[in-house]
Amino acid sequence: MTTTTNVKSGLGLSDGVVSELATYWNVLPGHEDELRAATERFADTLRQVPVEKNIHTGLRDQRHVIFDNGQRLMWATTFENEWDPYFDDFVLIGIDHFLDWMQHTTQGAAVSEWVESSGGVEKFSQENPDVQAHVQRTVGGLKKIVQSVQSPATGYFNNLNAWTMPQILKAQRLQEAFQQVLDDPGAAEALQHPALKPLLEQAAD
Amino acid sequence: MTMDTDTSLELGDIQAAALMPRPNPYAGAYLALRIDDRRAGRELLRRLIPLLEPVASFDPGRPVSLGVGLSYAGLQAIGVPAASLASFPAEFQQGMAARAAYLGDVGESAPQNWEKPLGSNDVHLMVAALARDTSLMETLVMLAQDAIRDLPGVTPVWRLDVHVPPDGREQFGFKDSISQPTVEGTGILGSNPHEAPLKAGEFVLGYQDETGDVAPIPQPDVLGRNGTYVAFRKLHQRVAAFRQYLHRNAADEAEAEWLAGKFVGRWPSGAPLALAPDKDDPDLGADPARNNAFMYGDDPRGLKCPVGAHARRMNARDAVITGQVRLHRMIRRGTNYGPSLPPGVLDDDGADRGLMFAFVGAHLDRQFEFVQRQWVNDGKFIGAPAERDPLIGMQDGGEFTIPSRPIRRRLRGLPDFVVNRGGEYCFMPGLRALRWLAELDT
Repeated sequence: MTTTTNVKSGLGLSDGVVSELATYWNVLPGHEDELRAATERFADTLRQVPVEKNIHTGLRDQRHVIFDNGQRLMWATTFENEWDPYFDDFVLIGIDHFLDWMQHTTQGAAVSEWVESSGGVEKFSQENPDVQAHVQRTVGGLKKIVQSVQSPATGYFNNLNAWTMPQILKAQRLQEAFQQVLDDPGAAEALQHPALKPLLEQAAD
Repeated sequence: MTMDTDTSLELGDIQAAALMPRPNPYAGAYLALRIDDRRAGRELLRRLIPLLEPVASFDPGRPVSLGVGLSYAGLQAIGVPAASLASFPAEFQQGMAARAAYLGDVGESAPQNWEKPLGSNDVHLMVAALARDTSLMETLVMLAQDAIRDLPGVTPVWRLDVHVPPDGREQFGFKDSISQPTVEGTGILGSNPHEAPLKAGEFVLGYQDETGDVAPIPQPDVLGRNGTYVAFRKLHQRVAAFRQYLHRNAADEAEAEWLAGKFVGRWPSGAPLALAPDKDDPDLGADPARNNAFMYGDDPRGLKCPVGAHARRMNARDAVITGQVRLHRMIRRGTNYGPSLPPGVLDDDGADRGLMFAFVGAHLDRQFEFVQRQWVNDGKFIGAPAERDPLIGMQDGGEFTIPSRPIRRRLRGLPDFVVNRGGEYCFMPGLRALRWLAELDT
């Protein structure tokens, strides 16, 4: 397991191909219920993103936890990829989705200020043909805010640390194809070729 | 040979029927009673208590077993104070019918289809009477019926007669009730010498369990200590459908028996696939010293016993699964009801036949309910999320994988072979608790 902590770059701990990023925000007084709803919407949004797009962002999982009697918020993610391109691409799912929950934190004011100074919400819209370049030019400000509330894990373990999401999805596609082969009555004969011995050894279960 | 007993376990207070294996062969009856008058209910308990034996005085050579339990509604009916009632776990308070969706009792197994009055608030007190033969059983049942004679405030509301069939097997044709855990401190030997004894607190309230803790017990202490919980279910078995499915998927009788064995994890004789992977071994099946003396650690892929087979799901032993097996062990009792479908008959004759299943344990939630939900009606724990217990799971056209060389078999379109006709959660008090209940003056 690599242990890399670099406050300036915002890196958390890594385990194999997976890294973690956990951030701790302050909830605006009286905003707990709205924050809770916004975090549910955020998870729903991610759930509707096609898996290939989520792979593009490198995101493995994320969660929000409201704690300390509704006063604090943890936002934790794990991701593959490098921190910088990960964050750039993650933001491209739509800045409004981030604003939706960030606005209920005390850090939300700084986020709003960054959005305005970056040309406004419209500039981050998917309708803007230049949105990708715009994000790359301006996202440093948001990264700075996120880094300011980030604490790297002191210990991190991921059971699937050796495999990236593309590898897992490729394995699943191969598995589905292999099971189709095994369902064919001719499978036993077809797999007798010496070159297919590794497959035959996996065919029994 | 018996184990040393732990003198701290109050074997003189625990109902023998909770921990001792049932007689074999057996004939018996389950009786459900409704308590309409709490004083009559208490008088009933006073009459039943002298008929009950504790573990300490149970004689395995004596061929009778009588056990008494009360549902939450029964405890209410007999006048247990509200504070005591509130100290019972939530799932017991709710009752099995209210837990139906959680347990997978849906469709034909849903409570609205249960045999009345099962699932209603009329099932208050359950009596389980088992004996080694019919005439002894009838004597036992008569004793129980004598106990309710002249008690107008107690009404029998349901009865199920159970009996071992001539071939000694359950309705699907398999030898049953082979596997029993060893319970530490009881002197009762289990049937697997490779399994370390389980902490008494897994099966009796008031003692250390496998988590190292003593779980909260119903209050007051005199009520909860030495008691246990029973989940009983009347399971209708679709024997004809089972046979039809096997024959549709097999080339001949031998293959049909092979498939059946793979479903169950044992051959019809009781011989475990783990020790006899290719064909039945009746001598092994008949030998109590050997027929449960095995583990699964040398068979991780399930080439001997499929990882999703019924017996392996009920007790995964040392197999690599998600979950700690020792936290979810169960004492399971099964008794046949209804006529047997004659061998070779594939058409359903419409008779109600099946198994009266009873779970005994100190934790309804992490023993019975966990196994039912996670290991019977789900397959994630073995890496097969699409598969359920092939014998008793709620299938809805599911599939079952039989590892086999060179190519695995994958069966599809499994129907439900078992339907729950009803059940309930009961609390089986210790003898001192029964006397406390009988002496209530609320």
